[in-house]
Amino acid sequence: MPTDPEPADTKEIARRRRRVLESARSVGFVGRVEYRHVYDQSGGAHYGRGSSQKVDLLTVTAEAFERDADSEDFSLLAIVAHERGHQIVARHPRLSRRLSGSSLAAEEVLASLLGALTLGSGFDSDSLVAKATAELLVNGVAPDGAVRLIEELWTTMKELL
Amino acid sequence: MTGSKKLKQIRAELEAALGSKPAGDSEIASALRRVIEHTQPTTRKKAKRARSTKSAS
Repeated sequence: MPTDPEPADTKEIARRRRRVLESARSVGFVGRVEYRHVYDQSGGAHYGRGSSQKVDLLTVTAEAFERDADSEDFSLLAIVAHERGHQIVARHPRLSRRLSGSSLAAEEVLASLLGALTLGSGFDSDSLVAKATAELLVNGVAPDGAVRLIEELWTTMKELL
Repeated sequence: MTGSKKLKQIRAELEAALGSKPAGDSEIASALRRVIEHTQPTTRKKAKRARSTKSAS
């Protein structure tokens, strides 16, 4: 990836802001949403927890749009849905209590599954299920066990939402 | 954070671990199959190209 994002004019920035906001609201993100025309090594988006849900912050960066344009990578909607998953993990009373002190990997897995659930069916949802499964594999869970665990978590998360 | 690992890389990791057609009829197994199979057209094109090169030689 180049060091700097390609320059974008004000119209393009405004278009991106609108698209980010629409995507965020479509997956149920509550709080502030911003687009920054920078690279920040977050993978394209990150969730910031505020003093309350209505001041939580979703920041989407230029990288998310580059990934969205790549047919071999996650769409903008999938990226935003994953961050909405982080917000649910942080804001759901039972989930946040259960997950306090758990590993970053565990939160990533749940954020992806919750993001997939907010998307319903379709390839973006599938891609987040794949991301969650791959996260378990990378963390040493055996393939059969990883799929079984994702199935169990999927059922539990569905019931919880 | 979303993480910078591309979907293409995730797909390759899943295929290496679970095979090209993960077994099972659960929603999860179906989703994983759809993601892995997403590459199949390219793979098929490559295989087709390889076959036609072979038969031409």
